[in-house]
Amino acid sequence: MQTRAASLPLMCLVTALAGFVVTVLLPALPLVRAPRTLTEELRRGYAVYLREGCAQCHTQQVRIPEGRFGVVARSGDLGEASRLGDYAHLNPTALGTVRIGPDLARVGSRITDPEELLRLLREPHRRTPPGRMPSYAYLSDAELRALVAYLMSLK
Amino acid sequence: MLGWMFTDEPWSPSRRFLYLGAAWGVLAVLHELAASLHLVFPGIFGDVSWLSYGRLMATARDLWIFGFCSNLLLAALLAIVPSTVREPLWGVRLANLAFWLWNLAELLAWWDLLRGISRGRLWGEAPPSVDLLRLAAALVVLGSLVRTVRAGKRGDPVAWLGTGSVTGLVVVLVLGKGLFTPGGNPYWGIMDALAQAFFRQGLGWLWLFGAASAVALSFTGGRLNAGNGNSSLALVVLVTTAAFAPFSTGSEFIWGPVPFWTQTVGAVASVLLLIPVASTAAGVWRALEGQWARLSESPGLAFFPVGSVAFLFGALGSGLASLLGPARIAGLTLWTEARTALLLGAGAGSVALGAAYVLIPAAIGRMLISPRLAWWHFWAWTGGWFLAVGALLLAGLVQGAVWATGTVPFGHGANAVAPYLATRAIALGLVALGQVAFCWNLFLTADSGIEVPAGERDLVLAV
Repeated sequence: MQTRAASLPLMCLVTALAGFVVTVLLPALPLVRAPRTLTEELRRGYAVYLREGCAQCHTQQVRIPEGRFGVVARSGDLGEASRLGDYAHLNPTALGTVRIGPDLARVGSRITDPEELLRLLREPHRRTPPGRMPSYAYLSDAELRALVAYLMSLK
Repeated sequence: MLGWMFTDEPWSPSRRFLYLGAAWGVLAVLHELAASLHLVFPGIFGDVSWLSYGRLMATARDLWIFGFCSNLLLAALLAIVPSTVREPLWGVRLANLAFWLWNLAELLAWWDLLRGISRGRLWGEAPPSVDLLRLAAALVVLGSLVRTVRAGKRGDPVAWLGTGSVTGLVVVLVLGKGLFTPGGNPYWGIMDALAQAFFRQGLGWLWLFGAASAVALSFTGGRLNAGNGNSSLALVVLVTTAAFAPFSTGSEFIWGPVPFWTQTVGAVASVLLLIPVASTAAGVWRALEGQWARLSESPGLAFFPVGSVAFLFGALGSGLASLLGPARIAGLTLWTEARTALLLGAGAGSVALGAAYVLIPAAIGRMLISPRLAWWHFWAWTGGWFLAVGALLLAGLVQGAVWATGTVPFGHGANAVAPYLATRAIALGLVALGQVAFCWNLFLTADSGIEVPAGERDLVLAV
């Protein structure tokens, strides 16, 4: 009985460690990383996304209760709930913690015209109704196009 | 020059950390004010890259945590640890070295983040070179404090808590930022998301809350003769914070794309963090019991109950938001920002300012020149944060309610919170005015305050 009581904390520790290895550590290892990798242009776009702090306002995580239900413009267009593997190829990740602007995890499914996204980044005040999105017109054309390409890849 | 930089004058490290903490505090709140104006008047700063919202927010947060709060809390720790163990600070020159390293790192972080040079992480964005400078400074301070505690004439849990919080800072920097591989970020995918969350939670709980708790318990206990009781509470804070804070990481992702067990562990740890927070609040309020009138004598002391209440409500909000039901409504809304404002702004910031005011006579050697201006600072600060947190909490609830309908477009919800964001900007304006008043008061005090006799400087902190 005493031996069982003594081994209980050890069992808990081993279980917790095994859970951590299987669910967190293994998916993060390069060998089992999702095959989806960023092309050179997408990598440049993602770098701009990180550098300009887009994650300060936009999340990239659709939570379970809002999957297929959440709204950006129309009912359900927030997309399916995000999965663990969606981020396996990213270093660093940009899940974000607060939504001042809409979630971008599936933005490429909502906006199908890259030019529309480009206009939104350059002249957000021309949108109707005008939102709170700041202008990114100070970015170079190449940087803007890379950013748009990256955003369009989020589906 | 080197003699001046690395002087062995006993109060020099605390004094220097105090001066620069005050200066960074003004810059931090001005950056945050500018960022909040972006959300009220989009396009207000035109197309200036270094004034864009994302860069301003990242810089403001870095300046607030590492520049303002950390400098003032380090100033206080370097004073209270020697005072509680009744032993002069070991390695004053080394503590001065830590001061230069820490603030050189802050200067570089400010410059880099505004120029868009970052690690691309939500909070810990400064480049690795800055992090390595910060780590070196933290290790030097830790070494100095540990040697002082070991040489001390009495063991005191407040000193252990203060030293433990610096240890927490070192651990958070190394693990949260992956500094064990200086060549780059070793974390990928969800592991990186959890590491970033560990960095945010660890910085808030293990470092800022731990240090703030030690400072608040020490200063209120010492000044109001409740030292022994507060020492036992410090032990409770030390043990429970160290036990629960590292596991609260998963609470940031309730219903999110991380393994469910990390969410459960995070939620439980997040609720249990109420224990150290309530212990700190109990220590501060017990010390004040029956002596509330003494608060009116010292604006510095008045900051401590404000800080402890802010921590209490912040922890309560975090615990609540980590439960499955409330998380559906409050998750990812501006409620998150409200909790951050409570814990890092009103909580850690208030205790840091309280410590600064109490330290002034000892560290600078002059009496505060204008208590009246200090009271203006106190009311602008307290009123500002009350308004900002209230506005953000309400905005979060509005957002959550709109999202829960499943029919109202996101833009409508975003427009509905516009008045709350405007209120937050006004509130930050108040906080900024208070910070400027503090700096001005500090400058006038250093320039022409009444001198405190050399023999009495230590008595200010007598515990």
